[in-house]
Amino acid sequence: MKRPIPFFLNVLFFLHIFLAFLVVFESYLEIPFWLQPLGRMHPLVLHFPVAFIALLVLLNLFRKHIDPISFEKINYFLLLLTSLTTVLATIMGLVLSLEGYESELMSLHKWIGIAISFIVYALVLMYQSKKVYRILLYTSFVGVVFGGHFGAGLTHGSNFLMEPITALNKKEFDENTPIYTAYVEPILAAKCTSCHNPQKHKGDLDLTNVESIARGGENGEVWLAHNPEKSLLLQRVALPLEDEEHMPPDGKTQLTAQEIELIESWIRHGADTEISYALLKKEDSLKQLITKKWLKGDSEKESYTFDFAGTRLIEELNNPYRSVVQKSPSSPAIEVAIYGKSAYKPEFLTDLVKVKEQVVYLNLANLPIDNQTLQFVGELKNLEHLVLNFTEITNDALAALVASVKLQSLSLAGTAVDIAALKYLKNIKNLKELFIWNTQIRDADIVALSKELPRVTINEGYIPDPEVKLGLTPPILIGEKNIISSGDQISLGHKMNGVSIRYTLDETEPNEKSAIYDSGIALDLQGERSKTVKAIAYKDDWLPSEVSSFTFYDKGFVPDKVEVVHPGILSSYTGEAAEILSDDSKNDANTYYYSKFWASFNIKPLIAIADFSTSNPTIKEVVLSCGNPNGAKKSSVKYIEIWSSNDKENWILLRKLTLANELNMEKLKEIYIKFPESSMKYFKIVGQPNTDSTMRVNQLFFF
Amino acid sequence: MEKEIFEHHLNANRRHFLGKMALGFGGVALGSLLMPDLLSGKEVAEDQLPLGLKHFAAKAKRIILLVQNGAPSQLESFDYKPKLNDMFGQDLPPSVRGDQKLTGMTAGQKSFPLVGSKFGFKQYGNSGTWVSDLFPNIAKITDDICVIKSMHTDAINHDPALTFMQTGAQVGNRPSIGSWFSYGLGSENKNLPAYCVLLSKGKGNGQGVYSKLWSNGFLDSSHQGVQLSASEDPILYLNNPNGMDRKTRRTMLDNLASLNQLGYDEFGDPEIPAKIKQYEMAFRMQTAVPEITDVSKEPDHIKKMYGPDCMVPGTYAANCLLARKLSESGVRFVQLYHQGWDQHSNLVGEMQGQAKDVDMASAALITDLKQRGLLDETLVIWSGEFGRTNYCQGKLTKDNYGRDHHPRCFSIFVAGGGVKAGISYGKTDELGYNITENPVHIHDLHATIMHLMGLDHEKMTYKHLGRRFRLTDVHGNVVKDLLA
Repeated sequence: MKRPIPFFLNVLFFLHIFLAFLVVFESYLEIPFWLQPLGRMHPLVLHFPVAFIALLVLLNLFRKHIDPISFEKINYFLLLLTSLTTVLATIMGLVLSLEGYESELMSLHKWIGIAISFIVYALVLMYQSKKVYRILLYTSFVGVVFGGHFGAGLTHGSNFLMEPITALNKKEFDENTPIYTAYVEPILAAKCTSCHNPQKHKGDLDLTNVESIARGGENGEVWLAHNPEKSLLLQRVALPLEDEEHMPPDGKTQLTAQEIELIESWIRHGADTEISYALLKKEDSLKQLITKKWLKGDSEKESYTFDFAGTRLIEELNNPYRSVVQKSPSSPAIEVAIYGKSAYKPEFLTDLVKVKEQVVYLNLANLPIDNQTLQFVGELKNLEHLVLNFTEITNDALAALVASVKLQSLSLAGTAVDIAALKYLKNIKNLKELFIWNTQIRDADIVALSKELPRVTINEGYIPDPEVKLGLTPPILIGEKNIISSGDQISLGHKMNGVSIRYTLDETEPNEKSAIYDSGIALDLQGERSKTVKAIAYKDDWLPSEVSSFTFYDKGFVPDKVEVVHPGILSSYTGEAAEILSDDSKNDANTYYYSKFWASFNIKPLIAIADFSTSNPTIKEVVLSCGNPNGAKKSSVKYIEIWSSNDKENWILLRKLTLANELNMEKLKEIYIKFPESSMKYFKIVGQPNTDSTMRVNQLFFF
Repeated sequence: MEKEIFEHHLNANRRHFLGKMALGFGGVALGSLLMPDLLSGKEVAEDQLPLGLKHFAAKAKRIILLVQNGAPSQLESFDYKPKLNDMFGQDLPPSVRGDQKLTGMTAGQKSFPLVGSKFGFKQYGNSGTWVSDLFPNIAKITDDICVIKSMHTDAINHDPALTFMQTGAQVGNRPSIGSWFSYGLGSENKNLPAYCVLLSKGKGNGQGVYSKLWSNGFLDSSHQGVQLSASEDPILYLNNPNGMDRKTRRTMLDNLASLNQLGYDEFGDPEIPAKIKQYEMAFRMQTAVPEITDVSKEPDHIKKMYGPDCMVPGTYAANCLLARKLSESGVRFVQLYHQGWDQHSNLVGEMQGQAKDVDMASAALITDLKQRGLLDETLVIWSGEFGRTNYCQGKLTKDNYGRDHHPRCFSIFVAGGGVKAGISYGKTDELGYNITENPVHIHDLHATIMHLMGLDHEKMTYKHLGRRFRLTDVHGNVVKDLLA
């Protein structure tokens, strides 16, 4: 290479701009996986700058003993090498840091490293100025010492260097350890004693031991037993961060809300440095706080020692019938539910072998799971929660669960297990809750069960009170049609199994002696226009239902088809007039008006043409079912005309019935229009709505 | 050496400067390759959670929201105020009312005569929770529920208040709470919609419910609530039309999918695969839905528990039973509405009927979940949209009265899913007008519900029209005291 020096300088310039850019926009940085090995080379490369800087320092210290020209050459070349390896090590370190090192130590190490990199580059640029050069060189050396130490802390643990000495003081905590020692002291040690210790004792305060705390500082006592509000420590902590007096000072690690809550509760309890968790009463709020927020947090974190299954595997295991979900992004535990009785295949369960370590929750309710299938569940060794409601398992299936040492909650509702299952249940060591509603385990067995399983909460669920009787719902009509020909079958029904229905056809109230409904009633209208069926339901352990009443109407002559000239107001009454007038369903005045069961007319009249050209009967009466809104005082119909014709061209008026001033609203519900007999092929019914009224119709009969 | 360095500095001319800048830009460019989002104009996707992933471990997996539409009176249900009985007919002191705006219905009223509950109250369970005689079955499960007596809201009329409760905003066009969960957590059971809605109606004075209440707002329409009707076809148009069997449907869907695939290969529209997926889900729903809506196989005593009405489709009891079945089958969010709680007059008569409709089935739902071991993972919420006034609207007689809308306090209850059981939370003053302790705003309730479901209400956002929306807007605090 002809000009090694400028080339070197260019490379350095490039790398430092690159580094500066990475530092400024660090939060946007995403390292592709193929670059991660580069980051992992950081621990290897960093030894070069460490050694080179040390060498530079030595070289400069002993420069007098070296030939000046050689010194210049070696020194400058070494400096360039130092700068190059420093910036490379720093960039690699930055890449490595994104793999998830989050700590104070990390950020110290990172910034020191970045600073060294730029200081060494400054050395290169300021090489001419000997004084600055030397200051910078020694600074960078100090940086290397500290940066190196923090870096070692990251890989080996922060107390790595002093561990052989400090380990002597390390304690194991249990429930008999004083709360002060187990919880309060570590908080003080982590957040306070870096300034308030025997060496530094800011504010004349030493928080490292009970005696010195009792002495207090220049502002008085640290805490006041039973009185957290007046305790100086908590007052200072509670001040706004900007306040001069706030502790720990802005920039230092602050106490978390959880820590403050604990200290507050402990002071409120009496700031007793001897009291332990075991000595606290169950209802004590301090004990509850520790149980809830400190103990639980630890155990939850610790309980899952297994690895993450990985998102790709989880994704693979999810299918429309199987939901496989990680408990939370930070937890490797997996929850599984399988759905769909008809689609179930045994593989849905056995596929889980791929995540058998991670599954902690499994819901198999309502699936055709039998004893054989359940064998597999025994392999899920970290399973905590199992739902088997309404599966096909029996007692022996539970044998498989004895291996599930982590199982805490087991739901067996609706299965065939009985008290003989106890021999397996006893051996599920960590079982805490058991659901046995609707199984073969009877009331009488519960006592034995709770005696044998003293630590298990047994939920037997709802047991109906034989004293309380409820009324059945009334029988229903099957099918919506209530317009029939005499002799047609009608069917009644009830939503509940085992109900007996009794009925009458003579409008009397049915009772337990009335005719029993079997499979249908052939309803003889006996020449009447309508017939009412009344029915009541009975069942043991239930009160009889209310009486339901269904009225059936004679079909009369059925036209081949009905056409209407105007379809009716379709916006609010959605029924199509032609269909409504001739379907086999008649509504009474109680049917909701604004619905598809009614056709309505206001400006344009009802004009319906019935075609009897095939059957050609002799007709002498038309009945039009109408509806007036409840409470209406005025007739909604002006008049009704009946016309007949053989060719739909020349119409003969048979009858005109004027109803504009009709005051009897009952008469308007069923309008009977009699006229001289006619056997023509077509009949036209014109219904003119009254002024400012809406006329509602729902059925048309011909007799 | 010196010479070389000297020369190097001499060479620092413009060309050299530009050349060096190029190197600098090279460094920047190389760096930017590692930062996909820096130059693309997108924000850091830090708070955008990948769908279907919780922020932290959840207490509850599913929610059943029992909306008592029309606003049941807290004074005849859970908030016992004997003082109101003592002060029968006396005027509400203006100092208590403060600056509370009134509705148009009572604003013109000359006096505001106080009236206490016509129905007795007793304490129940180990918790000693006060419950009125109207709710004897809920009274039996007080140790499983948490009554919040200090709910309050912003709106004083039904539609805005209900919209607020459903979407966190009084104006429309925001996603309903169920849609947010569908968006945030997805469906547990992929053969069913994540968000189902069931309607029923009591005989009391009713207020409308509209499909906007279960709308997906600006979220993808797949998050919309699916209303199940009371008819034989609970989900409209799900069944095959007459003459088409399942095999034919399968062939049709396969052919349709390959046509769609052609379209996708050509245009790359991501909506196309979404559509193929929706067709497949509908196909699976054809078998999944009848399995769930068939209640005939329920044991007889279940019917006794929910009440005989649970066999009559379209009743509140039937909907409660169906809600349990849906929830048990992994439907993330089931929402019931029961209309008829708007007792401006004839409160005594109407409330008895309404309470009879819901008391037994609401309690049964909670007991039923509990006995299946599902209550711990299912959050049940029973709530109206606001409360009712402590004074009478209209004519006050010894036997009957009415109550107007009151947003300042109302009572709800929640159960299961990581909520403390057997407590009463919050207090109102002795006249039941203002909250005196632990107020819980609708936003706070939303934040708490989300927390229980493993979501941070401040982090789950959706960007729309240039800003990020949250269910809780810019408000809401998780009510830690309620968490078990």
